[in-house]
Amino acid sequence: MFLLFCAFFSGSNRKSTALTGSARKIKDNAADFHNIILRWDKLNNEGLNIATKISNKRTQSRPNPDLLVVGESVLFQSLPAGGAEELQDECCKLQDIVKKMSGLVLKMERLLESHSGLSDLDQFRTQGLTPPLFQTWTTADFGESWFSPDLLSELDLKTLILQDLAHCESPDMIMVYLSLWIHEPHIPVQTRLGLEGLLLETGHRDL
Amino acid sequence: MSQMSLTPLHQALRKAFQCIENNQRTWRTVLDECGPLMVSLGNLAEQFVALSKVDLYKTPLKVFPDLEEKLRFKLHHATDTVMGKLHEKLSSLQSVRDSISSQVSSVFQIQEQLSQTLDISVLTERSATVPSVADMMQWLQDADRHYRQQFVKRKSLLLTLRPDDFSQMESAPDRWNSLESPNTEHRITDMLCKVSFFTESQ
Repeated sequence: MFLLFCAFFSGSNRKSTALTGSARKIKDNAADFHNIILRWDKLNNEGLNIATKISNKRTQSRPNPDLLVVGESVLFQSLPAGGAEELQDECCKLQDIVKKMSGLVLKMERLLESHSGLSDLDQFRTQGLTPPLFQTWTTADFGESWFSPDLLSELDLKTLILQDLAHCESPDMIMVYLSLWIHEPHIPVQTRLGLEGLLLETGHRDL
Repeated sequence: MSQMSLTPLHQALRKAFQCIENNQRTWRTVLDECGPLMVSLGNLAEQFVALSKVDLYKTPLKVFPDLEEKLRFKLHHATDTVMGKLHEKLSSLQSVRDSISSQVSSVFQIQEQLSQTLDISVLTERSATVPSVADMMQWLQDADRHYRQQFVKRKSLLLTLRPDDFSQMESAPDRWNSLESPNTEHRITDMLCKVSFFTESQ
């Protein structure tokens, strides 16, 4: 009974800045989550610029069609002086970006774990009768907003692009790689709305 | 008598020229905003074409199931967003065209109402600062026709775009730019200069 009272108390505190318990933790997690996504988008843009440079170097260094008969070595001969080093530099930069992104995915997974812990705790305390924490969502509802598995498959895709982009010879394939990098096909369109919903619910965004 | 009855017509003419002057700027701004949108539309078409030429199952990407469908969906979504913005711009162009058309047609209505009292010599009379009514009405009609034609051409270009017709979409930015008619735009600016003394004199 006392626990139920505590849960109600934290729910009724929704307008105040002195949140406690699950609400406090979820509000902080939502802020972290938002920061992770902002950081991810920034890295994605930086990565796109680097990937575009790499693809430009690849398409510029493509052999002249007339020389194709000479063989594969033409590709390397036609690279401008210092081109290989520049290409290597850009690939290293892209590698750094992907590394930072994998750091973000780790953070996201930690958030997800912390949230599932919170969910279990609330479930245990209230036997499934949790009142809304802020406006209308219960602890369990918040679980639907995190999209760690999507980010993880997106990271795998980006790692693959990183590995293959500088070796790819077909301009169409290079274009598909760039397209995949920009549009992030593993992250569904509605997740952005979910994030906005989360920020509205927790009061980070004003209604 | 004729000079007296010319006053409402002069007022309507002033109003129409001011309307063209204000809307000419809006028109230019909207068209400038359309440029980058058309470029992104062309880019998206290129991405579609590249995707359809590549068989992802024969590339390292085969480890991701449904990747092609997912990317195709995202590309369609991005195209939708760009098209939505372009249609918003188109409706701004339409409102420019409508406001110019309504001002110009009100000038012609007034002229029609006064046609009994206005002598041809009055309509063609001009001075160093005021061009003749006949000339001004012709310029108005030219400007009106220009905006109408431009709007219809740009609208039909957007209407012919289909999400599955990549070659149309790819060539859209060039076709959009080819619709520019700097000479007519220049003539309208020129005309506004010619009537500047007239519009400023109340």
